[in-house]
Amino acid sequence: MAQRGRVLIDPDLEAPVDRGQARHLLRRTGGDTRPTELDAVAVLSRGDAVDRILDFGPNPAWSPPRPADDKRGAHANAIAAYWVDRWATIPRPFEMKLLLFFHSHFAVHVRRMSEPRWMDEYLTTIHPRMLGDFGELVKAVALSPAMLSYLDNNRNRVGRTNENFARECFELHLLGANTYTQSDVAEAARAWTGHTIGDDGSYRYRADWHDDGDKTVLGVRRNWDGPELIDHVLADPALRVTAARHIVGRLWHFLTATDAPGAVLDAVAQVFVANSFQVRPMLRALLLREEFLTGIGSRPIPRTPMEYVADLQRVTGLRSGDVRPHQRLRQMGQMPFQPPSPAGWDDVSTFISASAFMTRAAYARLVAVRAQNGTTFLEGIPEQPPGDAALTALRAFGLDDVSAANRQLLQDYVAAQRGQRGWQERLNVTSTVALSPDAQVG
Amino acid sequence: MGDFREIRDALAIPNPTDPASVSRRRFLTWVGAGGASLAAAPLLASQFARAADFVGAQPIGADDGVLVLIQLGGGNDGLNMVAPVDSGRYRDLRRNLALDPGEVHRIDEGLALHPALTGLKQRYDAGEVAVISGVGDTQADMSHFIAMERWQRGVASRSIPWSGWLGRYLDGLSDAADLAGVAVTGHGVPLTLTGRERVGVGLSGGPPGWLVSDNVHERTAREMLNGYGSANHGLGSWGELVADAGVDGLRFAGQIDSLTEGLPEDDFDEEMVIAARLINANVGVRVLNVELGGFDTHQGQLYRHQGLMESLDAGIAAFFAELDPAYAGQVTVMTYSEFGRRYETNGANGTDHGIGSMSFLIGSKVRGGVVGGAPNLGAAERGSMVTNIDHLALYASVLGPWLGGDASEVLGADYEDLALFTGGPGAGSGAAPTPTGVPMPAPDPSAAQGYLLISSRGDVFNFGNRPSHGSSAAAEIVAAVAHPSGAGYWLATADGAVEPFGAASYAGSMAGTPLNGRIVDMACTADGSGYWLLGEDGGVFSFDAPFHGSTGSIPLNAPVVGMAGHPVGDGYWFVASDGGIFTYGPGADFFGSTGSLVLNQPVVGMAATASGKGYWLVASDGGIFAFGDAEFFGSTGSIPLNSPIVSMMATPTGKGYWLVASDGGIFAFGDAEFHGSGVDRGQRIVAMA
Repeated sequence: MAQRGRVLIDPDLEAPVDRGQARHLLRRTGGDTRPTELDAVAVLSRGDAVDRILDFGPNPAWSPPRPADDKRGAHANAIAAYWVDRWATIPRPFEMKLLLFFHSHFAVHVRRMSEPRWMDEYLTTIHPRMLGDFGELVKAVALSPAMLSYLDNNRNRVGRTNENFARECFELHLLGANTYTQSDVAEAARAWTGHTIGDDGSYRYRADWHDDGDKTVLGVRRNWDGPELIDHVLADPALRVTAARHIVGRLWHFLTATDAPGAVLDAVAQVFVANSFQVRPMLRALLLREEFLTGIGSRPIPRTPMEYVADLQRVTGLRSGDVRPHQRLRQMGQMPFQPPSPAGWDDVSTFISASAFMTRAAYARLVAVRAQNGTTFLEGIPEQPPGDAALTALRAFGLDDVSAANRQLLQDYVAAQRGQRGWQERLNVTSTVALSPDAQVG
Repeated sequence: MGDFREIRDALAIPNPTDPASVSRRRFLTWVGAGGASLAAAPLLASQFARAADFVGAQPIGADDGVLVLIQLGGGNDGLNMVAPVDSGRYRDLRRNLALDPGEVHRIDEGLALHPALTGLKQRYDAGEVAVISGVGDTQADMSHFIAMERWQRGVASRSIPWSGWLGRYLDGLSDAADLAGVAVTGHGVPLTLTGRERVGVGLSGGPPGWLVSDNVHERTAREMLNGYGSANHGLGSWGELVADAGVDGLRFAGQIDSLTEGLPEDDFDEEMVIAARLINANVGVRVLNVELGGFDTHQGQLYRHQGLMESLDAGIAAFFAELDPAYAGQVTVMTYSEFGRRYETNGANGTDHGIGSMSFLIGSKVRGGVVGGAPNLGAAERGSMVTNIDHLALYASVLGPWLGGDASEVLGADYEDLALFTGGPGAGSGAAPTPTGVPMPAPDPSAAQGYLLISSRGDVFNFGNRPSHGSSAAAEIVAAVAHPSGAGYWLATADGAVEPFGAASYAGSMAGTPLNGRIVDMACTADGSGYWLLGEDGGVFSFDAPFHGSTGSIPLNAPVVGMAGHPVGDGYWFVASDGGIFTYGPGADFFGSTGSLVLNQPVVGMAATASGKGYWLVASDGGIFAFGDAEFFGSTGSIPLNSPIVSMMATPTGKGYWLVASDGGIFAFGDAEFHGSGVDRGQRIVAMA
């Protein structure tokens, strides 16, 4: 992907990442922290480590399942299963975490997907554009039947405007709240009239539904068409800074569960603008911020349900067909195509609760049973002394940095139970490590 | 069945939040707002280790009402659940789907309960069942998804952020248990129970087996997991919260397990028994949602609906059998479905999606009987039962009187209490006098205590205790309409700009769009969520309001001058200056016009009656023409006026009206009270609200 313009990054690109930073970078980007990958990244410079994480080239082709069933729920399940499988198996898994970000940023809900294929069309619209031109991405998503249907623009026509999309596009997709007026929304809605869905279920522009009058949006009066508003926002000297800060802020929050420090917003938004809203240089700048690598952005935060189930499949080698994560993601609170609102998924705190733990516990036990009976996961540990067995298991989970206390807890547990009648070490070690706090944060 | 599951799942918010998480989330938000370090979080997390045995428990107050909501998914055929079984019209419409008059359970108003509802019949006879007849959504949609979403959301105004009506009720509880709202289902928490701050707890049938089993290895694994709660992880405050949630989760599993022992096998029965046990456990449950699906009977209806009615009856019986009698005076059960079904059968021995339906309200404090009378099968809304009780009025009548909530706040508008209870929740029978007649859902009575006069300059003059919510700076205001709540209004200009005030919300305008004719009037939908603008050429422009047609493309004899929205349905009328009436959409029927009379003076406006079964027209000399159930209470037709009459407004009861002249002079008739009149010289009054 071509990069245009200046790239403004202040940290020392040549500084080597230490093992802790490498682990944080990999873990926070939805990646693999088992020894092989960790060793490969821990020898790189900061710049090279981030470039490696952002290089999706080695990943196999994107090919979500086509709808085999005319039921949208079944199709959403199939897509979720594919999503988790792909996350667990591709060499550069940040791709799938980033897709989750954009799915949350441009939220749509299965409730409004009257054509199941809209769901894979929507993801296939986002996927190749994730690291490219953000404006092109916003425009492409705006005209996808999934978004047209979810935010009602398919019903937005001259004389009967529906402001839902026009408002959410400004508030959520582009600019953030309190940066425009109700009048801007009403007028923008007029600009978006006529962009609808045809009888064949595909995007259709209906000139007879479009309002060809002049509209005053964000201070400019002319005969606006909806997509031109996106170009305008990303080109206007004042608006583009607001937009850049909004997107950077959302991304920072998604990756760190904290509000972006002002210095991060200033600097990374500047990179975004300077690079004509290319996502890759902006993301690179964000991941290289000292605040992300070693500061507030490096504190452990809860893993979201999608990351959690993908990680369990990665380390055990199980596939979605073995453990059916899509059947549990709803209860865990993060099923694709079922975000709680147009603003996407809430803060990670919503994923932590007693009943959410019960759901995770049921799932972790299922994974442990399947791993014991269908894979070689942890196959050698019953022959190792308890201390070694604990260490081997933690390494296999990519958790070799676990606290001494928790490692001791696992070691003592193994030592106490060995020799008990009916003891199944692999099953119980897998279950209890998967439910450790360490495996649930990152 | 498959369809139903999909709908249910799509509308459920997968947020299995438990007490601890709701509170923790609130705590975390607070920390963020205060700028304090998250390091303080574990201190507060430890507060959740309460003295009560149950995670997040708090007893039910002696005067607290509890609501068990039964969601009948797929569109329940209300007409066969409570059937006008002796009506010839019913038999003609339903033909082979009509119930056998020899098997049904007759109640009041010529209605009868479905043969399978034997338990409910006994409760009805005991005076503990209210049938809410013709309940529906005034902006009904025949899509399962959209209709169910509207029922679950339950808002009169779209300005209320995305959430469910009982969730917003939970938000408003100042001192509620963390388990105040529970979805007894394995399929996530429905939108109904999702508030802005609180989300109901989702309970599946039981906890994962390995978290409660007696197997020694599963027990020791749980002990190991409990050890994480006290270990030093070095994972910061989030890690501590995750560890604590694990410890709570292990404890919670045991508690849930105790509720699910020895349950009957059928799913719905099981969930109703869990609902009763949750109430008996006295942990602070206030609202519960239980689901029964499969009502989308497009084919084989007679047989399938029989089975569903059996399940419903059995589940309700199981619930009351399990419920501790100590709570009998505090618990009400309510059923609802996203819509009813058509009168006529389709070609597959089934019925297709309709509008109005029936709901049951069941409990010892419920005022038994039929609310709303037997359905009028002579009238139809899209081929099915007409909505004559707004579901939001039903919600309001439960939220306030039974749950002690702020119905106006939760729903975004005021509704008249349907008087569904004999007394408030608590011990005792609570016998109270039976009200006469059934009130229609009506606007805030305070709206009757005054009026607003609007001038062409956009000034709003208030009289009586009717508050003004502001004036417009726009030039050439031509129309105004009050929000149904009485707490706001919209003003419109001749070029189609619209400005909302108070509870009225903006839904779009024609500003900037060239019009064939100037705008002359406007009307709003029954629930105030949208409005129509009317052009002098008879063009109608809808904003979040259904479009049913206009005369925009037809040459008219006389210009169009005024319009009225149907007060219950979503249709509208408009009138031309020669008294010709044009009717569009559900409810807005033709009751007569002056089109064939030669008028002394042109007609200038119209108003609908409270029932929507009639209307008045007013001419510029104050002459009144009443049609349908509109009564004549007087006119100024024989009085010389200083200034012409420009508008009229009916009182909420429909037993009177005001006329207003362009100089602000007010003429009150019937039960309309005079609160003053007249405005500054130079101001020209154009509308009244």
